[in-house]
Parts: sequence; structure tokens; C-alpha cells
Amino acid sequence: MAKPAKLSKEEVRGYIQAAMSEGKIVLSKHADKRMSERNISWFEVIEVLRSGHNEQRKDQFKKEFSCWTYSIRHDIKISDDEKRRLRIPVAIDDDGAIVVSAIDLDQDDSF
Amino acid sequence: METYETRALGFPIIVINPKFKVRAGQKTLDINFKLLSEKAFKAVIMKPARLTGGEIKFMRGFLGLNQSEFANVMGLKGHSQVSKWESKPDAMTMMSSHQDFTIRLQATKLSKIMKVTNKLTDLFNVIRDADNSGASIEIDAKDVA
Repeated sequence: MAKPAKLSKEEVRGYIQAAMSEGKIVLSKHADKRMSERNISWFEVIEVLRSGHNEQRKDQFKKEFSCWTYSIRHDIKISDDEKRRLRIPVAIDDDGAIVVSAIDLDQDDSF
Repeated sequence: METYETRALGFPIIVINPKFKVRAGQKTLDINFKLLSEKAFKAVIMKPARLTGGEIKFMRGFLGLNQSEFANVMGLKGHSQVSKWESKPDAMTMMSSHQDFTIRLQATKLSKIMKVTNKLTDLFNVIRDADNSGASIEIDAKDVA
């Protein structure tokens, strides 16, 4: 199977915005588990997808599944004087977007 | 009966008869999270037990507020109290029953998906006497498909 072409930043943003407007964002079981471990909520994930940017250097090709995961990065405003630095890897298919994991950059310093 | 516990909204929700799909190599829960969050919001507001930190964070997220804004609309002195509650998602907040009820009432008014009814105001007497955070909320997958 040929390696699928990687989407541009603009295409990633367009597909994610379309998936959000149609309610077609789903969670993988892995993402659900990571979100629980890191106390990251669905609403924080959605805010990252709505307002974040595609951090292309962190995008990965998953050879075993023949698909790309795109890293979306954003700082969430928690309060007037606190932010949370999050990165959300998503895959995109014909049915929408799949949240693959959830990373808190201040907790997960290996990322 | 098959069940799946998700904590994606910040507190445990038992999804009854969940459906999964494999997409992009990932096992994914096939539910509409917008519908799930609306069902969960109504369930949390009407929960006959005290609120947990995770439920406070969920209500804040549902209303689209940061901690400072949430503290402001709920009449709290500052966001540090909200931050403390949210840092212990499974623990009861230990706020007074009056404050617990005021938050539910204000959240209901702001939500635009619920109205303040007698059923809600009657809840005050129940949560005043409740000394725990209650059981997990259960939602049938077919209601949020």
C-alpha cells in the first residue's frame, strides 16, 4: 500500500474544523486513558483543536496503520494567571478526526 | 450488560452497551461527545449527592469558562478555590451545601439547556443531608449515538 500524502497545515486545520462543526471528533481508548491520568478534559481537548496550530515537526507516520497523526499544540488559559501547555495528536479519516492521545507538556517533559 | 467507564469529561461516566470502532488503528468509542456532555451536565446538576472536584471542572468546561471567570460568576473570592477543587477530581469539594446548591443553580441558568424547576430547588434538601459524592453517572450509549 502506498504511503498516504501528508496533509498541509491548512488542510489539517480545515479537516479538524469541519469535523468539529459536524460533531465528528471521537476519542481513542488510549486517549481516554491518558486524559484521565493527566486530568485533561474533553473541553480542553476541544479548545486545543479549535484554537491550536499544527506542530508539523511532531507529526508522525504510523507505518503499521498506514496513517499520519498530526500534532495540535495550544496553551489553554486556565485562569487569569495560569496556562496549560497541551499537545493533542489526532488522526484524520473519511469520518472525521480521532483524538489519539493527550499530552501535558509540563508533566510529560520527555515530549 | 457491557459497560465502559470513560473519564473524558473529568469524572467517571459509565457508558452502557458501548460501541467501538477501529479507526486509524485505534479502538475508538463510537459516541457523540456533545450529546454525552449535555446528558452528563443534566445528570450532574440533578445528582442527589455532593459535587466532586472533577464535576466542578466539567461544569466549568461545559460553560466555557476559565477558573477566574467561573469564580466570578459563582460569587467566589478568587480562582484559587476552584483550582483546589479541580486538583482532586475524585474528592468531594467539602464546600457548604448552600454553596454547592448555588453553583448548580447558577450553572443551570448559564447553561441554556436546562431551566430552574421545582425539582431542582427541591434538590437542596437532598444535597444538604448528603455526606458523600454518590455513585458514577450511567448513560446508555444509544442515547448519545
